[in-house]
Amino acid sequence: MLRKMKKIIPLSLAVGISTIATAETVTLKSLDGATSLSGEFLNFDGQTYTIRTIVGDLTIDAFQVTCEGDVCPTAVSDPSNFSISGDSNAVGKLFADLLFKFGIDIGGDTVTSLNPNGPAEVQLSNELGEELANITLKSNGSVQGLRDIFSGEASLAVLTRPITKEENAIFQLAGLGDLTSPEQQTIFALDGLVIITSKSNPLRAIAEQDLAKIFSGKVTNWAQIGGPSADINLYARDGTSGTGAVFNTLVMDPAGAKIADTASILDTDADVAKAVAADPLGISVTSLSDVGNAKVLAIRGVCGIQVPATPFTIKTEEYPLTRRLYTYRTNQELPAQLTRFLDFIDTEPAQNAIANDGFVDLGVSFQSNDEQGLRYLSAVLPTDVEMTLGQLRDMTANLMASDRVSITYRFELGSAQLDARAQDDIQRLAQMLSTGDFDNKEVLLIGYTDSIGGGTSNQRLSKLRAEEVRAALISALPGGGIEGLPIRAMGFGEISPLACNESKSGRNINRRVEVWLRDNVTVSQ
Amino acid sequence: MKIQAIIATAALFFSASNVFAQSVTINEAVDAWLNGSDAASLEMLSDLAHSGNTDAQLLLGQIDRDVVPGGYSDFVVGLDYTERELLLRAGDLGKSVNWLLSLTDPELAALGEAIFGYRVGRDPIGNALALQKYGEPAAAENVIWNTVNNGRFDLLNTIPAENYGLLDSGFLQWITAYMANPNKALTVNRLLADPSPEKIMGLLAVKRLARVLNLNKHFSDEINQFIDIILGKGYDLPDDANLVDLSADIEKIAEVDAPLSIAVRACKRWETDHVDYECIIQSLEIVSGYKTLLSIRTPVENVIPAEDFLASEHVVDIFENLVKTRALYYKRPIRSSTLQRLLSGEG
Repeated sequence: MLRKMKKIIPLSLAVGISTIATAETVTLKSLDGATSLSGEFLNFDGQTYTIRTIVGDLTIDAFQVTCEGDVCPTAVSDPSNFSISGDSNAVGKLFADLLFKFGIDIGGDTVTSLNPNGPAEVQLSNELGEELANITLKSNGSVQGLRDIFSGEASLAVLTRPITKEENAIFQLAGLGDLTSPEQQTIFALDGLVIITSKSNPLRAIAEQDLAKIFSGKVTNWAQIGGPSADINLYARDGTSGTGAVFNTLVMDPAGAKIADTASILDTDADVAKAVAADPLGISVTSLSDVGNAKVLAIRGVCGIQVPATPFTIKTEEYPLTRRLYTYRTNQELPAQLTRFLDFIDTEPAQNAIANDGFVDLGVSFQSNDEQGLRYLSAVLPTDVEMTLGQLRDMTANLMASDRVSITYRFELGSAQLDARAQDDIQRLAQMLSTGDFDNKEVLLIGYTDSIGGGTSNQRLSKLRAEEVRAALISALPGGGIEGLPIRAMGFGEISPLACNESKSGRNINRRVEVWLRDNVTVSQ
Repeated sequence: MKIQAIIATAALFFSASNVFAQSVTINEAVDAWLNGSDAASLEMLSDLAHSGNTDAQLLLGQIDRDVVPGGYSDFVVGLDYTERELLLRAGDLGKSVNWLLSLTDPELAALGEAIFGYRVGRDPIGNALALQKYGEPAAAENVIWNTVNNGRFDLLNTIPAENYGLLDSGFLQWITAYMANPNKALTVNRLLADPSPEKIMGLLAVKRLARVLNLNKHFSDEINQFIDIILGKGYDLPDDANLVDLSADIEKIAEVDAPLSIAVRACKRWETDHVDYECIIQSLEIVSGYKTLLSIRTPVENVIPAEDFLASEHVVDIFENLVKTRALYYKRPIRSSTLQRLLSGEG
């Protein structure tokens, strides 16, 4: 048995010894001293070190380690002060929570100082207790958030609505970049606007077409919409607030209406909810995350389709008053800890915190075909949809034993171009499929259209959109695809509306590509 | 009774030369050790060693040196010094020396020293190189893995360019492939589909580095639970952990992971007619996890190939002895009904 070893010895002795280590070798030690790495220094970008080791090039979080070696940069970073400014609830509550979770995630700590007369201050430190940053949270509303990043008084603006073209033009003129570009705009969460009344109000649902009439003051008595005979008391947010702006965009502007002068304008969504909860004749709109003690009314579309506000319908943006939550930054360099924090927001712990605070996270959810009853009601209810029983049967056959993924891709009218969120969602879907958790399944990308145009051309357009998503997805997958995971694109045209085609927002919802995961069943021969 | 047997054997050896030894081959002695009782097989090996068989000398040297890899057993632990001298060591009573330092064949002196010294000193890379150089790659890989697992990833950089294939260690190759793959997601499904026998060693090493490399976001909840179990921290599992799936995953992975298969085989040996999902999980807790499983390995690869040793029932005996002994110091309640029976002596 020792014969093999005896042959190795003389060969081994003949081999010279030279080490891999070079003059540019650095040693990186974790702050707790428990882990050390060394390798050839390749790069330092202010956030990470890249070193070449025997297991390949490694990228190491510069804030987690100290660097030893002649080529180490002089200092990773000095403590930095910066501000985050914007929507009161998102900044004051959610971002305070996210910073707390971020502190835990980096193994450090946060200390929050609440100031009754001013913004909250959050001190972020690493696991050694060294101060990394002092962060000011300014809960001043969306418009002030934009003003603050324009003037340089904040590094990040948090908005509950997208920046307008006019606002973006001002930034561009000032040389601060295009805030709608993927580098400067991030969607970090979703939310739903909900119509609320007091719990003592007997009304349970409200017609979509009545919303503008009520909030513009054309409908003034509850009896006109099925309630008791009494005056309607309106509460609202200012039109520049995120809630006010999104409500105007989705409801008031398409109807050519404005919020009635008689409405009581309140400062925050929480104030609105509190006021309405205490007023049996009150009605308003607030965010789902701020409903508090008020009652949420269902919204019934013109064609009878009624979609409840749930995390799934908000993630798919099928709930008619869904909104996206944005962060904006200028093209100026961000403080290192803010860049690190923005990377954290996309992680699972951060998205869990978003959900816990009442917002809707961007994480992927699944819904079985059995729970898609609305799909079939909506297919037969509208009268403007060209559909045959054969088409419905074909769609149903494809969706049997399938789960719908909450990721849904949307398109401009007549277009097959993916929008900003869709680009992020392509990456999200590619990452999810790459986990290997979906073996023995196939991915169905199913395109649908609104009812504008002929049935045949809509069927063609829906297939084209699904093909567009498929191409983008395949190019985002490592290696250009996953073995054993077929990805099919198909189009069913206008046959499955999930909102009424009578309204612009409804048509926006219907122009989509859905993602389904179908069990791959092999039948024995 | 044991001492009488040893003295009788020693007397036979010293008085009757090699008559008994000549009648037993090293293969028979090794087979007896892997499948039979320690008392009889170690006596056979002792006779062979004293008659100049270097394979027997290497085995006994390692068993004397290093009880867990050598064959942790009540019998070996229960030997007093004189019994140990007579049975496991070379030289005269009172002046005995470990066989690894007293090998009959001088050409093997360096091998003996490499095996004898790999757990001492502050040069794990040097120790691993010596083991690798003299044909003990599994032991060398274990030394490297322990070095990484102790956080000294920096020492890997001191491995010489000429390293006798040490850098080809399976778990280092696994880490290299993982780092080169743009898809960093680590899920149980991915692990199940991975045919590498060293995937658990690689996974645990990557987990050790995950924080500084910002890789934790790529670990799924289920893989984190799996890692907790493998590290002997099953008590940290959340209340909603799916023990049925996790147990099935462990059994599936154990089909290609020989160290993990030891715990799986042991629980199958102990279990009665009902399935006990806690057995593997809690037995790993008791023995302090995968690191201990890795320490159950062939004493000398040159004599008993690693795969032959791991396939034997002897490794399950060793694991059982470890569970029983370490349970004496285990403070948590025993959740597994199988382990309750085993530890109460009913099993």
